[in-house]
Amino acid sequence: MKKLMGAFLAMTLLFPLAACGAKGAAPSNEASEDTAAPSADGERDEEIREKIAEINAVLEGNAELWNQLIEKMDTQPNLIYDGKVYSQYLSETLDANRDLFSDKELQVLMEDIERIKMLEDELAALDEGGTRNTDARDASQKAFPAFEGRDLDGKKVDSSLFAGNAVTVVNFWFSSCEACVAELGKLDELNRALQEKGGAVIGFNTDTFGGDEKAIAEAKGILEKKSARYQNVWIEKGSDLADLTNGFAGYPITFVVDRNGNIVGDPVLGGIDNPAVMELLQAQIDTALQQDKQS
Amino acid sequence: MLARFRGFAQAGATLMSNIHLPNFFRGEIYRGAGKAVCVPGLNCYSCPGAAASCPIGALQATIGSSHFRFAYYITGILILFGVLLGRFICGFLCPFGWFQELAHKLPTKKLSTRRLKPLRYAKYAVLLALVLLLPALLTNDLGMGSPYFCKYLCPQGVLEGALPLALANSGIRAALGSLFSLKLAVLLAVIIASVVFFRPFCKWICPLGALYALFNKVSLLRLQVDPLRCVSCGRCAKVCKMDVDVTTAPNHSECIRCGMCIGACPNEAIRFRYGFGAKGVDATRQCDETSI
Amino acid sequence: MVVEKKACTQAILLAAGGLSIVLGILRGEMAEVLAKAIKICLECVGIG
Repeated sequence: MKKLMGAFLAMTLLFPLAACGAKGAAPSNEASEDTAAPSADGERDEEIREKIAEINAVLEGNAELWNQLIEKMDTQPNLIYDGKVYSQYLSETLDANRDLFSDKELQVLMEDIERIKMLEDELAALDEGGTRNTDARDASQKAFPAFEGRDLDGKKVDSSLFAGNAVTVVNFWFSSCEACVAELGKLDELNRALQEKGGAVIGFNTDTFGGDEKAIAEAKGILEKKSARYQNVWIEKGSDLADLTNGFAGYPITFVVDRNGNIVGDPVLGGIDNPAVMELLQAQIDTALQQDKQS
Repeated sequence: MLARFRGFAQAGATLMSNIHLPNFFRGEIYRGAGKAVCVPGLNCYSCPGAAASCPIGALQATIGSSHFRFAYYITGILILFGVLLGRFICGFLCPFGWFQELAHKLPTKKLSTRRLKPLRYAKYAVLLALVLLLPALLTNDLGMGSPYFCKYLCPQGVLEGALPLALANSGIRAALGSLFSLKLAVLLAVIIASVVFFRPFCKWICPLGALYALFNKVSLLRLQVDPLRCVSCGRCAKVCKMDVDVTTAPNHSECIRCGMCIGACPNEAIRFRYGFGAKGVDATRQCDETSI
Repeated sequence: MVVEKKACTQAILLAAGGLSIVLGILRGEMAEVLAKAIKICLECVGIG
């Protein structure tokens, strides 16, 4: 019975927390915006483990009574991901089986439930703090969609190119977008500067997706006119990356991708011929380069 | 009666022009085939809910394109809108017109625009310079011209495009710079002016209004004054907020067909008419010639 | 403007408008309008 209880509890409470715990243990090597350092997360995980132990202790404190109740519970527990619901579940089951216990026993059990509920609330608070941090870290660890396509000269290109660059700046544009075309020269400059540091710029012209020859010819013409010599790639419509572009708020939009294929920071909107935009982008590039040096 | 109906029509038109409501929360725009055609009023395609393109935006997009200098497609659409409806569009179907009227409902002292009639010509300058000429002539080294009106002036784009997008999308927020500040200032100025004046943007700045104004005289939808019923009391001219005397010019280029004059007339002398030919101006003039 | 002359003008304008639309579509202008309307060039709408 004790084992069943323990497993039950572990399943409902530890499931989401284990997820957080695992990520919390990973070294955070970005200069991230969130303030939680790895050690703080380790402390938080310790607190979570303590709280769970306390809940278990409450149940063990009145083990005989609780065992009686748990026998009555469905052996098919509803999978609960929110720790709070456990106390609710306990109290509902208790209500349904009041006749099993004397008034005094009922009171003891209800006090236990109250204590468990308090501990659950504390757990939820810790969990939320952790989840928020994890989400921030998750966002900065978001992988750039894998892709395969061809550059405008027909050569095959795929996302393995990220592994060969300390940092890759990925720019999305389209041929009739004036602001996009205006920054092409600056992007070429950036490409040359990055190449010295082992990085590169690549471009995606969304008009060329699907391999439209007219669009490719037009894009090539524009790139040539603007002396933008870095690689531009087209992919199939309907691919994961192409679907991602459907959600773009506007153009031009630029991503910074690290060697592992993960997006660094948030995508930058606007042409980098605007110094304010370039500043934002440069900050992300510097972050990625620094990370790359450390690993 | 018409006045009450007009408010509903304006609200309905605003909704129909921006039917894709969930997009406001997603911070995305509609990308379907509807955007190949335009709505009749001033309604930015960057509005998340926009169901179709803006005629002025589409006009500039075509003229500014490196492939074209003249926009046959959009001009054709504008001619049809103009002849079929004229400035009825302004009065009933334009979301920004409605917005200005709502602002005007704020209870403040109101100023008349009667003495500011010369300003009406400014909108033709906006149309000619910012919408038609500059995108065609002031191009980059690839022959691409900016949509100068949309980029630097249009307050509707800020109100229903930039602002909702910025609210829903942090990337857009981060991208707001001096250009946005300029346009926001324009929007605020128009809002303040709209509280005090009636539809100042429509009168003085709107290039779309300017286009439709040119068609008012040949529009199939028109106003007609019955000379036998008109007693020249002048109430219609007094109540007209576009500063038009309907008895002398029932199809004046400034008339947005709001129907306030019809409501003010004690003798039901003014009517809407729809169809080919014109009986409005001629009939009135005949009356003057045979005056007793 | 005389009544018949005006009706004539209106009819001609309607026809011209229709023809202009067709000509524009054939030239590829409708495709251009659509292409520019479904991807926002940020600066073009004053975001920047």
